[in-house]
Amino acid sequence: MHLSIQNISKIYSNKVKALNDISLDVNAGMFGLLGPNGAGKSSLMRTLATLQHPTQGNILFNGQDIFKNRHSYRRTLGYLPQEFGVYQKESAQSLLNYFAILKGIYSKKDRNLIIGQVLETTNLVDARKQSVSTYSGGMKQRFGIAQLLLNNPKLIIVDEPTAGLDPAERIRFLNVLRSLSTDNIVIFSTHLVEDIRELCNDMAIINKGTLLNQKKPIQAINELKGKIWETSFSIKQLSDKNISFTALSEKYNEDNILINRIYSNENNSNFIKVKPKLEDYYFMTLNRSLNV
Amino acid sequence: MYNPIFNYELRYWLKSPLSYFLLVSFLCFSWFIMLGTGGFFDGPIETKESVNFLNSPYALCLNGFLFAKFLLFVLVIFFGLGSFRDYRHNSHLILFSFPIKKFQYLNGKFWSAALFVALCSFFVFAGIYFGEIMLGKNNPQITNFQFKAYLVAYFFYLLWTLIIIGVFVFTSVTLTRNLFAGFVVIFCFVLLQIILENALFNYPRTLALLDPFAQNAFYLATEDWTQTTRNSSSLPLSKMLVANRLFWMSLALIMFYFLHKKFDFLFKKPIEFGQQAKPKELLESSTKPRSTEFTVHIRHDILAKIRYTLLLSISDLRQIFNSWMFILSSSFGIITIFFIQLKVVNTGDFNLLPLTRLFIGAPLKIYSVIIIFCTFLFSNLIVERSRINKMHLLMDATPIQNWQLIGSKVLAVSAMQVFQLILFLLVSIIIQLANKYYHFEFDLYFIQLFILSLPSLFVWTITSLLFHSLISNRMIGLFLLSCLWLGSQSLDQLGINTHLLAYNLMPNLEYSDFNGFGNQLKGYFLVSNYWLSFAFVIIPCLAFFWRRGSASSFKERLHLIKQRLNPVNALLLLLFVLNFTYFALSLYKEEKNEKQNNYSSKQLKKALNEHKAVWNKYANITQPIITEIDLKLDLFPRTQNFYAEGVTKLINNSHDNIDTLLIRTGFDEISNIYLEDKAELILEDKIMKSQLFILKEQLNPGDSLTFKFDIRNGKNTTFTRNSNVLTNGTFLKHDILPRIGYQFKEDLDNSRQFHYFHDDAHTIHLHTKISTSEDQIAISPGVLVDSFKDGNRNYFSYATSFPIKINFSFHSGKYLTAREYSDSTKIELMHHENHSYNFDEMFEGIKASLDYNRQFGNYPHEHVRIIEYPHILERYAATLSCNNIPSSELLFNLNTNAMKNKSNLAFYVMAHELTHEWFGNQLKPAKGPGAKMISESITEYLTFCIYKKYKGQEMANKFLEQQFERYQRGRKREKGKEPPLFKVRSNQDYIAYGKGTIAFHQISKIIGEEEFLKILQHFHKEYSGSNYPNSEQFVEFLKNKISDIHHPLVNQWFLEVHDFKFEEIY
Repeated sequence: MHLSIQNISKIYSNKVKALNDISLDVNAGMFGLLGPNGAGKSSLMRTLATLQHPTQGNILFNGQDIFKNRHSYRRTLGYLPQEFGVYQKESAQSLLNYFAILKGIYSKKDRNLIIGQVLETTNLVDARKQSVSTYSGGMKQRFGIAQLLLNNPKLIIVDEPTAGLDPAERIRFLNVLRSLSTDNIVIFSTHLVEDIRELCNDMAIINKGTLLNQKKPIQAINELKGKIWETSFSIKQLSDKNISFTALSEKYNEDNILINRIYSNENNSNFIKVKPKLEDYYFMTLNRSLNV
Repeated sequence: MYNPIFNYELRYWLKSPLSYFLLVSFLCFSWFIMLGTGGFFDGPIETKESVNFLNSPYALCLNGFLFAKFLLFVLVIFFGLGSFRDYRHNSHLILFSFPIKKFQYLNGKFWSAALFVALCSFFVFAGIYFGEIMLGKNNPQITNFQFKAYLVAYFFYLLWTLIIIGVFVFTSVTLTRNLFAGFVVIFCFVLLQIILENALFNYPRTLALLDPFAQNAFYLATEDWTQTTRNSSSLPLSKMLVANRLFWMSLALIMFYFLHKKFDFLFKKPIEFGQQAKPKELLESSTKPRSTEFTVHIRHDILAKIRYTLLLSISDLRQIFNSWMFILSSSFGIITIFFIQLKVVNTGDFNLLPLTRLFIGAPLKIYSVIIIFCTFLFSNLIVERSRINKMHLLMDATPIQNWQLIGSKVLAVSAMQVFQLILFLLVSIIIQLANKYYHFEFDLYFIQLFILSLPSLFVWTITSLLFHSLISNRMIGLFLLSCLWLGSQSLDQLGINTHLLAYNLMPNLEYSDFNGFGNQLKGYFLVSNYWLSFAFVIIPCLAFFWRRGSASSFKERLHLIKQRLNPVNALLLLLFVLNFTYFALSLYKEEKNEKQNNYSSKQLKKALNEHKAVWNKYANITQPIITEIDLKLDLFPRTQNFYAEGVTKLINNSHDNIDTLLIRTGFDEISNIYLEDKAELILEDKIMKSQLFILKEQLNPGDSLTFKFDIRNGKNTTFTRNSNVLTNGTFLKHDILPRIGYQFKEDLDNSRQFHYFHDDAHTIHLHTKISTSEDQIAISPGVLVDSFKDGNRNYFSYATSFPIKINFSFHSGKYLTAREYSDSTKIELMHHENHSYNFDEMFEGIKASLDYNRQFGNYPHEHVRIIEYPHILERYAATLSCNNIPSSELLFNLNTNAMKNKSNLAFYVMAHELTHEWFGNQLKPAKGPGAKMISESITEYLTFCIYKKYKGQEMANKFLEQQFERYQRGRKREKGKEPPLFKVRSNQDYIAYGKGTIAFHQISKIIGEEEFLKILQHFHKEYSGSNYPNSEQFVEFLKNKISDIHHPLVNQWFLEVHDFKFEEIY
């Protein structure tokens, strides 16, 4: 199972270039798409879901152009957009039945069986008769996963699904996704590095519509070993001392002193070596892209 | 007081292109309507009568009422959208946390919207004003510009109504946070007016008070206005009108107060319809995912796809049916139709049986408008449903194909239409059952509702889906759809008369129990198939333009279209285009043929004017008169044709020699005149069918001349039947036959040489050999001399026993006959097999007339035949034609049980018509004004006497009351100056019948009925035969027979026009 994104660009009618020559190769497993807000993640996800055409480039799924074989491709697709609504006053069961029809599940018996299973998977059995429009944010996201699972998709695209979820719901949700990624491709976009670290075996960082990097998270962390430091020096002080560094993040410690987290090949007595995190790689990639 | 909300809204609407689009649309709309009505496109009206001014205060107000309906749409846009916008963009979540006051928020929103509504309605009158200027003062329908009239019509009538209804729209949308609620409110207001008009037509004051548009209050205030007053008077400000305005203003204030009380800056909707799902307490969910091992059997074969389409359509239909807006619209629709149907069968003067043909006429047309409105609204609802609920991205990424989605929408809307048609059927059946009418014509209902009406509704379904698919702004989509519908209705205003362009506008259909839909169906199906085939062209386009995913730009959508235009789709489109082209060409050919075979009203007007200019000089040439016609008439009901040939005998009964002969033949017929070598044709008008011959040997006084003729009907075309030969119920009148002399003389001629009815014959002998198909009986005036069957045709010979007036007809049909006798006179009633109502009343009317009128002499014929004819052929109820009384289907469909408190129409018509034997046939008035006083007023008075004698004083009084109302109604419609009774003209039935009966009754009341009848007997005796009296002679005759002290009364009633109340004549 392989998804190949080849030189995809997308320019909207207002001349905004949302995607800029992006190429990616995605195999079975969890693939994280990381980027700040407005990076072009949702544009890429929508394009992958065949909801919009790229201005240029091709996307192949198992060697087939997804836009030329849109209907057969959609049969293998499960898509959960960043924001979605549902029909008012419709229960989960009834809406899932509607989606099951849309996805081509022919017999009523099959539909009932599958709906029961996805409700169980997403832990919505008890709320199945409740109107989805009254669900809490987490329940609604789980409903989104439930609808996605109906056709046993081979390619699952979920766009920032954990945004706005409480920690317990988030864990619950990620677990469901993880269980799905064994035999399928799950592409998961987020601006939370934590999600990627916990879930993905591969990831890509994009910003301003451009692909900055594609790497396995573990590989990314390993690359930074011994090069991440924390210091109480301000950025100005560091610059004045002619130290070569890349500022990654800053935070206040318990004594209310601003601590900078930096990337540097140089060692300094005022630097404290710390264990690299995926965030460091993410910020470093973003910073580098800004400095280019 | 500074209101930031008001200012912001104002700026928003000023920046919005939609505002300018609406302003310009309404300006152009009213402008074109004014120009179209004023004849800017097809020439101004040409008439000698006075006309209604288009820019009189009265007409401006009527225009205001018309445009008030169209402007309701604008209310939803400005009042509805102004309020709804905050919820649509979720800006209310932020806005509602600001320190603004409820009053400030609601007022800001409301008055900014009101300002733009006022602007739009102002542009309507601006359009009318521009139209007035363009038509110019030389246009006969334009009078002087009156600024005050514009001002009153605009502020007091139009704007006031719009603001009041605007309050309801604003309240409903603000409280439900649903824009559709606004549409439903305006829809319900329109239906409310129709319901009130139909339910309260007997209570005009209540109706005037409750009408939200104040239209009926206006009508009540102007009910006494004549055309002159309408053209000149200022707009009324009656108490009822003020009461209406205040009543609705109070309701609007209450509604605004209610809004103010209910509205709060809360996240939750103030008003929810339907059951609210209560959030349940959920069990603690496990953080562990459960098994996702399951097998899905997915099918995407064609059968499965069709099944999915059906299942999705059920879901869409459920959405429509569950919508409170649909429930409300349908309920109002059904109540409306209930009252309309009740009114159709219970008219003011008489009650009809609840016939299916009545229900599928006007009520179904009105109901179709309701269905079309629901189609526009709910097709938008199901197309936009997923986007409104932000579920479209989930759905669009599924493997469902566009044609399945479109198909499901088409099926859902069509099913909604079928449901509404079934509701119509049920209401009709309920009314029939309630009236104990058990002749259910389910086949007719089925054909009309589902074979004839549904395809046209289907075209609207497809059109509506296309508009909503193409135009993402639903308000513009709905507005343009409404414009398309209205445009198709009023295209003829622009002088365009073609079915090729009048979008989905079907030809009118009239059903008769005799003839069914007859030949009208051919044209109807041609137009219907043409628009259906167009809808099929739209369907692939619908698939191309269907919004799916997040295509943002036009270019992107074009790219999508290119992708969707695969070989299969392209081939399908090509096939549909070819099919459409075929029907378009067929329709074009038929319409071209129609134009070649029939003249337009404009052509006819021109031809008549030209004819008059050339031929008027022959108006007073001496001509021989017709004395005998020998006719052979073959009727072919199946093909709806006839062929006639015969001989007409003429005699010169003047004192002059005659050397020219002017013959005019039937207008719709193709006739040939054979004068052999007796004359030479010197002038001919082929349109007005007139021929002028020079006789080779002049006709001396007393000489006679015969000529042969043959006649066949003009070719029946797809849209026009050129003969009154029907498959059943043929009714051909004498006007198919050649006539002598100039036929377009003004009504003002006053000649005692000839009688009122014709000036080319006194009375004639008529011999008719008439044949028809083997399953029909053919009837002509006179006595049946012979009948036989030859091959597959029936032959009948009729002859008149004595000379008759040229006022006769020929009939053929599958009649059943009921017979009764009055002394030695046989009364035959020839009727449709299913029409067996009111026989007793009709027989009774004939018998009463025979009995009562014996005082004027015996009935001269051996029998009276009442012959039923289809109502589609003639609008009048009945007429006397020698010994036949052709009578409309109407009389056979009266609901006598429901008419116990009204005059008995079946009895009355028969008594009246047969009385014409004495006053109309035996005594014929002279040609000229006042002739109808002698023929109709006397007859109607005698009918009143018959009523009194055979039905009692109470019924006679009701009859008199009806005549009084008839007179009063007619006076209001009078376009010129009302003449006195003795000068009544042929088109003034309200005087001849209404005032005439009252006048004669007043005289008889004073001098005594017995005495007055004696005077009439003497008058009849003296003037029967060829002594044609005029009205002045009658008045003199009357005055000579009564005391001088009564002469002022006679003068007052016959020679003068005066006002009187019913109590005075009772």
